[in-house]
Amino acid sequence: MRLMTFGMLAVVAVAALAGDAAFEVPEHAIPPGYKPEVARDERGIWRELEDFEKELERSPLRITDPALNDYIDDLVCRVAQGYCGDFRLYVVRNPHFNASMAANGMMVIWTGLLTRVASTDELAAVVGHEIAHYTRLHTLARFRKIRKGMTVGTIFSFGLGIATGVLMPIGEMVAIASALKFSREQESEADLLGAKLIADVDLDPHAAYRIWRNLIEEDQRAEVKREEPGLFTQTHPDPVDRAEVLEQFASATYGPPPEAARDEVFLAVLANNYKWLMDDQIRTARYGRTEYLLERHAALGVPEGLVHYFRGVMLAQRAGAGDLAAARTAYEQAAAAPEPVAEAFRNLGYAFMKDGDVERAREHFGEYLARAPGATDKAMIEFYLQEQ
Amino acid sequence: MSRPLAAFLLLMVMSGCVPQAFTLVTPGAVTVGSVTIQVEAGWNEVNPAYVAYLRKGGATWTRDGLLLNRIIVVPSTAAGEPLFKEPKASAAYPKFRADMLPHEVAAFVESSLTKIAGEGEVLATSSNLRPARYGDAPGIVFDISLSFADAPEQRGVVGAFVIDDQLSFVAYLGAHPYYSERDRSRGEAIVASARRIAT
Repeated sequence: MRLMTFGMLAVVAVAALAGDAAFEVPEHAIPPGYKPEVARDERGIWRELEDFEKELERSPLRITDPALNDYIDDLVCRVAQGYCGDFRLYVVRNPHFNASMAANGMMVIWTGLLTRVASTDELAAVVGHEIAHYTRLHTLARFRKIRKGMTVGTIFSFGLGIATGVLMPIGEMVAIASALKFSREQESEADLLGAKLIADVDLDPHAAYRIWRNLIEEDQRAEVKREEPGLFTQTHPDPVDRAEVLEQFASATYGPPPEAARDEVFLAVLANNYKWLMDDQIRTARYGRTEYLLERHAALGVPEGLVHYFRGVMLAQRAGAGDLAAARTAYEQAAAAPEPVAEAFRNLGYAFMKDGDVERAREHFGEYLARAPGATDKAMIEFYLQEQ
Repeated sequence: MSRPLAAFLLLMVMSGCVPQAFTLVTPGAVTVGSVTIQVEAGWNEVNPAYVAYLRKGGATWTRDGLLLNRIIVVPSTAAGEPLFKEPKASAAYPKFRADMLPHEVAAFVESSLTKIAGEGEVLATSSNLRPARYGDAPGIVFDISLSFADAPEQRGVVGAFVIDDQLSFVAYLGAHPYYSERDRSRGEAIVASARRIAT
């Protein structure tokens, strides 16, 4: 219930707009340090969100690692500038791409975002979009729009029912359609203001559309397509349109994109958290998407030992034609990399054991246990070693 | 609700036609599909109609309610099949492979549990993977933990073995810390007692 309430009140970030290219960047609608003092409905929304936030603080899926939180928190502050003190960041362990901003300044970032952006600039573009939702009071505006629309819609439906003898929620359906259109307009606003916010602090506004292009590409690579929401339920504009508008806006306002450069700070953050981030992605069993992400990470410069290892895991999980042989090759590449993942040796140990090559199996199992002395599957490995 | 519908539902309830949610499991050797399990008194079988994830032939038992503790038995999963009932193809459940290695079976279970709880809603992690025997069959056992976004953590133990390319799966899960610790030895005993019926 609490989640549903939050879902209604929060402005789900990542998605937005369409439209022509008349770029009127909206202004912030509230000053820094804003608190609702007059409107009862707004104060009510904040109170609901405070309750939800208390639960989120205790959530076991919340990431509390100081280094990761500091990195994103610093970025939020940089983009937010004077509004920095208005936001509380919650990094939540979820392998999908999303971020959200609640009306009271509670910002939620899903960890799947980190595996999908390629730089601090791209992460900043999402953060800027969320901040724009906050400073434009989008949640409140949408809440009021829905409330008013449903009231009018219900009266209309009731009147129609009396006149025709058939009670149909036509008025309510019109109200919902209108609210969805309103939501898409808000997303467009947040896109433009967000891109401006990151450009204002010398980050690359072109990052805003690159994210969408990457997500579109990832979606095309998905082997099992997700069920997309129907036209009637779409709260966000089409990503293709969105990317196009953002590109036109960034190019027209800020000129061509700067030359691509390796983002060492972002890469270090990604590499330091890569194992658990990709473990979570692997558990989704969405092979095409995982394969695409691994290709991108390799191109970005994530340590090759990590990328090869997870490629092997993904291939073994998918187990299509030729995948198991390719998985073994990937494990071999992972083991030969400058900073190998210990589990690559374990998996190769099993592979050699299957081949009947006991000597090499022992060698690799031994290497695994030497590199991962705290491995919790030690009993399993020792059992196989004794069996031989 | 219309008056005739209300009357019909009342009649159904009074006549016992509404599916019963729980049935007492008779203590002793209980057969679930192709697997037998030794069960002590106190467990109740949940009507499969109320367990969305359960594939045909499987069973879910509980002592104190599904949110507090449960045993899940999936007696046989063939190559190419998911461990649990896949609600729709877009859910992309992982599929079993008969030549899976021990750590791959543990990862398969992690991913399958993630799917039934909802991607992003749970963090399923296995640990302490170790060898086990189920009668004459070699198999594995490992600890499992499910951390939820907004529900108590569940912990337990999973047993699995493969005979004739079919995976047998038995798991105990309890709300942590009270139920998971109170019933852990019970759960482990049930998991360890699993045997494939000779065909």
